[in-house]
Amino acid sequence: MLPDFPKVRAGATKILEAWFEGRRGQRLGIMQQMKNVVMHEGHRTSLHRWDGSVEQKPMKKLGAPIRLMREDLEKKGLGAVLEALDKTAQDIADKQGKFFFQRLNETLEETGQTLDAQGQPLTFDLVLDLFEKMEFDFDEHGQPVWPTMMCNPLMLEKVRKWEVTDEQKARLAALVEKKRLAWRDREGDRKLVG
Amino acid sequence: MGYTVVHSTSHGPGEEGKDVIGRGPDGVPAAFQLKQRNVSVGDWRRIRDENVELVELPIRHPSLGGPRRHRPILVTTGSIHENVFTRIEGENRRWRRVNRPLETWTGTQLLAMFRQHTGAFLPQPVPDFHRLLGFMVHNGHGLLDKAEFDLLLRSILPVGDGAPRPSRKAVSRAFAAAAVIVEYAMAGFDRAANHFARIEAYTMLACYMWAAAVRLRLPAGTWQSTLGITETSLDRCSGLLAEEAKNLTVFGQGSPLTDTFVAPYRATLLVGALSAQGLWHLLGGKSEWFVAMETALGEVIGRLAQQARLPSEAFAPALFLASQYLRNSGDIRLGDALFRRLLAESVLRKQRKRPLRPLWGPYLQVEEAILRDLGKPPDPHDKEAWEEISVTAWPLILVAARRLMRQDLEQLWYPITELHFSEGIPDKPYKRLLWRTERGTWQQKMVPRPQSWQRLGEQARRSYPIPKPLAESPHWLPYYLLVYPQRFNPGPVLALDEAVSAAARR
Repeated sequence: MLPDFPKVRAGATKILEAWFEGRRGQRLGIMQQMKNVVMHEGHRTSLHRWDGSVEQKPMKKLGAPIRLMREDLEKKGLGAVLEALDKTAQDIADKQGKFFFQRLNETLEETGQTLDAQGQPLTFDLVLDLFEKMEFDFDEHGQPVWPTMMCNPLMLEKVRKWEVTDEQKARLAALVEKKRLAWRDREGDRKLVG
Repeated sequence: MGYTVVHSTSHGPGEEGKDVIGRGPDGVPAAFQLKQRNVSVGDWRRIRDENVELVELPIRHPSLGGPRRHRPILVTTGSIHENVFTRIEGENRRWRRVNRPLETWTGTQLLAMFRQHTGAFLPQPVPDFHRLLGFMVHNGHGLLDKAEFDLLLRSILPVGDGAPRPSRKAVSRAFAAAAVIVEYAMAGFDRAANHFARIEAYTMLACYMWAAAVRLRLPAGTWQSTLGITETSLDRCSGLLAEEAKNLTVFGQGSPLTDTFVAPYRATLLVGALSAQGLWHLLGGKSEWFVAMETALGEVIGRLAQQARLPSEAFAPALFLASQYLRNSGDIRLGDALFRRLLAESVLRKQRKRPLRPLWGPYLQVEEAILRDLGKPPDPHDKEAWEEISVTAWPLILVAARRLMRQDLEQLWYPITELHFSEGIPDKPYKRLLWRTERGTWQQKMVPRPQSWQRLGEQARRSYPIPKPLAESPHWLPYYLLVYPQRFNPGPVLALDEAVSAAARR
């Protein structure tokens, strides 16, 4: 065996893993902010929510190969390794994103939280219609914790140009008050009774 | 191999290069230095000074009489590079003038010796020699590596999904072999007098035997005698641990510089193990020593319980056992106070609120949890769950409901509604006896809003799944919970609470 340096290899692996995680995180975008935890046992999940609903799902294995060509390695050295890892980070982030939205859609369909716009363009009123179907939480200062909206860049441009009328503002304010009352009721229910 | 061990260093680096001192079959004293790796030229440079001491400094031990030429032996589970042999040969030319030359025992030699000396009485061959050797030459410090021990036991006992279904006779042999192999595996821990690690090993052995017995539907006759031996070994280890604990001063082990850091965590595990033995005795487990030491132990548990710390949920069973033991040994006030503290910490430390420290999950390695409790930040990409996720809080809430502690629960109820109560439910009940299971459901539950007190009481009084052997031998429940903190689930916790209450009534 030729001379080798196992500790250096282990250290390098850690550095590459951290770099890979960073790249994957960047590609995940907003999804990176979601809580991400290890489940040490089992091959499926079962979630029993406080409202009595139960969601059971199998776990799915997501992965992507790392393709590292010998000639690239000879020509570019570490650059080739980083390129290969970057490609894999992109592949995994794509798969995770696709899987996330698939699971999210399934859950929202099951719980009746979807709104079919029937081909209409996205408008402020449509967003308010959607908000009607959602539960809002409020922070310690009494301000609503607004949901995160995900859309493509073209739609985002349009959303930014929306001109909100006084009537729509009044509808939004009424909706926030309605949600606040519902939230207070929910908060009041977080106790032992009977 | 015929060597008799007369001394082994139990703490810190080897004394004068000697990890173990013994006497050979020919009566010649021998000193061993133990390594768990391949020895390269670089390694040899690092360990050369220790080996100079191993060879040149005489053994000083009353059992071996005055100074005599001893046999110095460097033992490693790995291999020794050929260039190291050349160097050792060179040194040996000089060492022959002052003592006997340095001998080397490498992994392959050890295997051959082990096979030669155990083959005659081992009921079956050892399938995973390398792993076994790793345990055997372990310095014996620290806790048992349960993931590694799980692999060793799985290589002997047919507990896995894909494991073949051997004949009843073959399984009986495997049970007997497992008991012998575990004794060999514990050699390092035995030399270091690490009784806690041995208690963990015997508990896992019993659980894996039961798992195999349930999986293959074996009658009790196939495993009962081996289980009896295991119970005796566990009881003896527990007695030795109790003896040491009785004489323990506050910072009584290892370097005083670092002992201040580890003492509270050691106290937690110690009260857990001693309380487990107290409950074992209460629930009908046989003990050769417990009655004679019961009063003294009650004092030790009470004293140490007040120093105990909870870095992760892996320590929760220890405090729960202590509270159960103290309540039933007459110190109801301290037992209840300990339970209230455990309940409150299990709920409140799952919130990201300063100055509360996070209570890490039971799956995080114990030493890593301690380091984090002492302030070490987790790795940036660490995904170990703790916030709003709890394995141990729900069973504690059920125990509190059973004890009608409504006021305590009401004070904690708002943060309780934020928690996801988690439990790994294996696809087959016997797998609850195993360290980890790949197939099964990871269940997370939230409490309803609002929660009916009456309904909670009903939930606390109903029965939950528990492996059949544990239901039939409830004295094992305390050790099961201590050694498998991730299985601190409603089934075994409520079964223990019920069994202890029933025994106390009797």
